[in-house]
Amino acid sequence: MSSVLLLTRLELQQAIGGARGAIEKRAGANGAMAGTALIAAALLAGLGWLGYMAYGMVGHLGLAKALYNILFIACGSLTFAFSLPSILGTFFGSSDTSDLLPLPVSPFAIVFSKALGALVTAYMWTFIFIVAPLAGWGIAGTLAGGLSLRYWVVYVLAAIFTPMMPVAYAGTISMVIAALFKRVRRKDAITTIATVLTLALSIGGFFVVNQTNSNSNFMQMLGGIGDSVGSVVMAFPAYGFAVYAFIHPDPLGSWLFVLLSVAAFAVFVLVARVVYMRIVTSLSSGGGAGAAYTGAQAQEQAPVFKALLRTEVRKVVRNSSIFLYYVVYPLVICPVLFGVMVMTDSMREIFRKLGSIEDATTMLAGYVLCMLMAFTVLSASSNKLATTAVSREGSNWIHMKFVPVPLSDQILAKVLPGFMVNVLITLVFLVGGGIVVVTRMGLDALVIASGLVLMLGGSWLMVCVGAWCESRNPNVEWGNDADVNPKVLKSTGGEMRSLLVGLVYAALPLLASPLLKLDPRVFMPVLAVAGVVAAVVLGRMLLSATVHNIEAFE
Amino acid sequence: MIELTHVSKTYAGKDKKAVDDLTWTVEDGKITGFFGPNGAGKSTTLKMICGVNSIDEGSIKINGHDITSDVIEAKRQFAYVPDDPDRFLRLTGAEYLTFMADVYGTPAEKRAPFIEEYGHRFEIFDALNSRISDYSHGMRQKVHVMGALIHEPSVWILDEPMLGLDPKGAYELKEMMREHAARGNSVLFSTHVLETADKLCDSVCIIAHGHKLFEGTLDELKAAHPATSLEQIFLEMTAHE
Repeated sequence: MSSVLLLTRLELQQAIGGARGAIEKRAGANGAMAGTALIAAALLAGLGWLGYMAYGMVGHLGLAKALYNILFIACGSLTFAFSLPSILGTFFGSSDTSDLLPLPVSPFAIVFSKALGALVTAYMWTFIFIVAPLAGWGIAGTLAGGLSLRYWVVYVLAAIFTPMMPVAYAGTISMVIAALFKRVRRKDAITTIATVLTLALSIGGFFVVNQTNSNSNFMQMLGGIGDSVGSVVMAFPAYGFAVYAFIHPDPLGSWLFVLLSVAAFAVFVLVARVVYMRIVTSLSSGGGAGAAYTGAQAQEQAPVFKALLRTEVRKVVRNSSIFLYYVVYPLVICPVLFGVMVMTDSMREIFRKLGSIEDATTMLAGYVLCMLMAFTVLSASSNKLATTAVSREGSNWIHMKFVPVPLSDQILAKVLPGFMVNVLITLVFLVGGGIVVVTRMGLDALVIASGLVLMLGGSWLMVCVGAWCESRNPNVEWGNDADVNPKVLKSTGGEMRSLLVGLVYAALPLLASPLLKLDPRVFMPVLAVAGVVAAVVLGRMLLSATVHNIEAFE
Repeated sequence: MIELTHVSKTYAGKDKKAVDDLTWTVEDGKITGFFGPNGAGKSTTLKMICGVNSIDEGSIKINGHDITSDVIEAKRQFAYVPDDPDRFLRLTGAEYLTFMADVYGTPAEKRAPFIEEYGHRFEIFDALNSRISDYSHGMRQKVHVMGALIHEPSVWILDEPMLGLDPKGAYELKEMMREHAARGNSVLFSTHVLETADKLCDSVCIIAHGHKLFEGTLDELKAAHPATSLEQIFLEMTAHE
């Protein structure tokens, strides 16, 4: 057991070590801890407050179960989806297993510690969707006399066991698929296949979970022990019992939630133990040779910037884990997940009740537009091409310093691919979603178009903020571009800051509307132009600062 | 030609200078070896010459262009081959060479003959359509040497260039270095293999703890320490530091 704990600590140090090191360098160890505690406290307070307020509004509408369902669905789905890069990177992306195998530790300890490491890093979503909001909800309910000590017992169990099932799903499916495709020896190929299929399954599972979790007729039909037996068929069966445990006094729900969660995780660990070692020791990073060179490529001379951009795109597209998680995931998966989340019966019920308020349609349309803009920002924040522009070079970063190309051109070539992905994300949400809002809710097309332009400006500024944050302390001390995967690219804080900037842009219409009291068809175009101008000016300043930081970086 | 004038460098957070008041000239028409024990300041010096690290004091000029004030033109003067060949692994050899040629502005008509000649000399021509990640260590080293030299600069800066090369590859590279110096150009290379340096270098610079211990021709060094090998000379000189 001690070797498991040692190796788990190693996994966690590798997972967070880069970001922690960067923060400690600036703020010291005490400062880093204080900062982390402050962020956690702020999240707890903010989300807890939302939960507290929700009890007063949603609880009285009889939607407590719907809220629990939404929170668990959101937590489980996001944990599942975001555990994929963690598990694939931990098990197949990094090469530390070949370093650990010669040591006097059992293969089971290696596998178990990797699984525990993936589990611990998944607790972030549990904190955001379960711990914080249900703390506020519970306080409000306890003060109102509607919730007792039993609620808090279930709350503690939920805080501990919620991430186990989705992590187990992500891990088990990855192992099974990797085993099925074991003839394919390239590491990249296994990562690509496993990722594509697991992401496809996650979308399908998300649909199933939404349909069954929120389908009360389906649960009644199944009968059994109260409502919970109906939940067993859900994709996350444990969550059905968790929701049951929150609502009903029967302790069986709690027991079943804990047992199912632990059992799922145990299955993952056992499958990993059987499959993983067999696969990892037979993987190679290379494949067969290509066709013989004929000299055809040496016929043209491209402009320097085009050469830089082309090489940058090649490096992204040819790295399957980077391409899938930084491009495909925010561009395809996030819109689907958000769309399905919005279309659940629970959410529709909430909108129906809100829509009964007089004159709510226009206001609701505005909120929906801002929601689309917020979803754009949330998806774009998982596109980390800009926040890892230099870090992805690893030990090759010095190439940027000795080639006779201005750093400004090199940085621009590195951030443009990230911006293009953000543009596509913006188009997906605001054109696709905008069509729905225009046709169903009667919002003016000019307002939607202005929102689109505003978000394009916001996307550019997000990219510039991300690049600037990274430039302050790029994480390049990890190896070469053969090892590039989301796991080794430790966060430098750029993602959160660019997310905040994006959310400010998304919230601008909401903030401007009551202040200006003007027709949206008047203030939205003005806001869009102002937002783009601000993005261009501030973006230029940030990129100049980025160049300065990289120039000084040694 | 590379001219270092009173160059000093201290890394942030450190008290001791990594390079201390180094004045040194790498002359044209010669192969210059650059030696020192681990931590002597060799890599720091090479990185300052190439513009990777900043200079705290002094100046560095490459063919008369200051690396600090005339950055782009100075960088066009040299080819730098770092000691780590595990770079640009996701590109094919051909794509990498094309990229380097584009970055340095090598005209299209010069590329094919260069790739043809050096690809065959290094015996990797047929592998240029494969990804660099599929190459062995030595093949990666070779393609990066080619990438650095494709723009035909007058100054070559090579950090441990023979590392990982097979005997034929090492022989070809040494011949290229001799040919390049014979045409009046500069070759600066660092190595820990003193036997190679003994056979190849026209002049040497030995550095330890950031200080220059010796600069001059190999004959001058051996004259000062008769009847001893280069290895023994090096050990004696650096032992006193």
